Amino acid sequence: MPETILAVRDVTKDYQLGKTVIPALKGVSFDIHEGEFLSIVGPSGCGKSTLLNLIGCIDKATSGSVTFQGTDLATLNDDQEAEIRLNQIGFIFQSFNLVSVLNVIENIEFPLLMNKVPRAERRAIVDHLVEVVGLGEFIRHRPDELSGGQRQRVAIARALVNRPRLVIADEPTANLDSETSATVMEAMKRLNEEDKVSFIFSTHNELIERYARRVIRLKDGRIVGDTAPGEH
Amino acid sequence: MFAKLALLNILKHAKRSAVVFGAVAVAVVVLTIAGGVIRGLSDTVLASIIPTAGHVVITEAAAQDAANPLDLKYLIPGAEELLATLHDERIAVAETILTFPALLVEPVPDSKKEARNVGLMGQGVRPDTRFLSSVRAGITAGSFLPGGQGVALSNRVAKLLGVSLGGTVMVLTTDRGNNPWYQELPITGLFNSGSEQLDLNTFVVSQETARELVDAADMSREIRILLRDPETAPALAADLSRQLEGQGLRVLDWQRNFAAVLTIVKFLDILFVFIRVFFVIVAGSVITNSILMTVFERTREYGTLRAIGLKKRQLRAMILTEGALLGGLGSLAGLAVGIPLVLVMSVVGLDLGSATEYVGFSSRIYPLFSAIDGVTNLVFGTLIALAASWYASRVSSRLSVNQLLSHT
Repeated sequence: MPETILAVRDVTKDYQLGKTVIPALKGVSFDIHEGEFLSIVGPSGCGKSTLLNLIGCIDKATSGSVTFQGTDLATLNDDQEAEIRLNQIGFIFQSFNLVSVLNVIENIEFPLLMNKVPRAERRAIVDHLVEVVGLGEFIRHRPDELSGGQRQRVAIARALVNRPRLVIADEPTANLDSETSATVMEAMKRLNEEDKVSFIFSTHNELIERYARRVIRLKDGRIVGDTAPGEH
Repeated sequence: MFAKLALLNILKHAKRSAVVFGAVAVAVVVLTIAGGVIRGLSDTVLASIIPTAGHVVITEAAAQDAANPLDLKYLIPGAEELLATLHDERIAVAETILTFPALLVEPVPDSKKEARNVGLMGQGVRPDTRFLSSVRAGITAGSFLPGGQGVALSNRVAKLLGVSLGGTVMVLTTDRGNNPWYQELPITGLFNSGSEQLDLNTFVVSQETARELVDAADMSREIRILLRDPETAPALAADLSRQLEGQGLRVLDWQRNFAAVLTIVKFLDILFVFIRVFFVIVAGSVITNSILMTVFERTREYGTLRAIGLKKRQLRAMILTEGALLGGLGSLAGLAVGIPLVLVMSVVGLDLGSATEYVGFSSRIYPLFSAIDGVTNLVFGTLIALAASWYASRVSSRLSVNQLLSHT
């Protein structure tokens, strides 16, 4: 049995809108093991992004626990959370979220700079990742000079640059056409298979869901299924 | 990378950056000029007016409370002998000076024509006097009492009287016995002192001539003393007071003699502090607002950077780097404009009008630039931008990563 890298236990998340409390997650529990390629699926508003934000140290649960490699994320201070986001968990956003004033290479190497990686080593890592995601011709381009698919591949490379154990992708293909979506998903799957990086991504696209080896279904903030694709 | 990112962001948000840059630059230009003018005013008093009037002055004590302190009965008898007794290593220069009221009259050969005249104060000095430097330096025609002969007038008085260099002027006085007396003196020098008050109220003759005119052999109005170190004036004045006790003389140091003017100088220094505070508020508000707008526009970007591992303090450092760059560059630009302006004004001068002379300054002020002012203004401009950036960085770093990312 592969090692459990993430354990979600009875997690709830409420949002306060004025005097109204809106429950986004209602007692969610599951584990993620090393090397998994897992998809969270469900309709809009079911809590997919909320769940990924909690796992990615971007938000805190109202109750329950999210344990990453034995550490309860709720116990971490701000710097420790930033350290995990920098080195342990990569994040890929639906709208790419690249730094607009930096070019492809600079966007990818930014997390390495935060880790004070020497220049030569930085260049070797970035060059490798640029080749892996197939952006060799565009290294000096700024984000606004790239297509949506190219931008998302830059975001994937950036998420992987510090060799995290887990990469979270929040609807990574939502802003892409079907052909580009397939390219991005293939790139993610290849990295999962070759480098054993665990991926967890959300989608409401059934075609994208098929890339996953495990699918967790959310509805109204609860898990309603945890199966292989095609199983119900 | 942070510095590069800051620079790239400055260039990308060029309009907002220009507002911050411009606000800092304008504040530094104004402060540089205001500082130069105030320093020039102070310098007029400390380096020009006070040394001309003497660091320590000895006069007749009775003149102090007299209705007319310029009355000729308040002259110091045996002034030259007294001067010879003043031996002190703190003294650089000591001279007797005879000031007297007189009427200068245009000489007219035709008695039917009405002669033009003007009432002035005569200054009887040694031909090689170390005082009246603005008159000596301001000679525009002729020379300053060559061989102790003649009279030096301002160009404005010469024009009023219709006389010119090489001509003569009648000097009418009353002597110590209240008898009218006059001499026709050749005009040997014309001057522009830079002070309207001095130009319109003063003419200069040798002390010998002055003594003849008022029948005051070996008498003087005052003994003026210049010191090697002006700060020793109170101590020397106290020593001389003891030395001259019982002779009916009064010894006054420049701090007491110019107390009112020095108060104004101090007031100007305080005013400059208020000007700085004003710019902190006005420029600071503009800069803070612009930096906040820039920061809010980039909230999502900050969220992304935080989401990929940037720590709060690193985010704050990034925003502060941007503020420091804009503030530093804006301040340098402000100095690049302000310093040449002050340097030009320090040569050309700045006419503040004759009203300034009634409070003890000269009408033409020569602003002064000092390196300390330059560094202070550079630091000041940078600090305003840094303070504004610090506030913006606090606002941003207070938000959670999720709040930053979901900002619209």
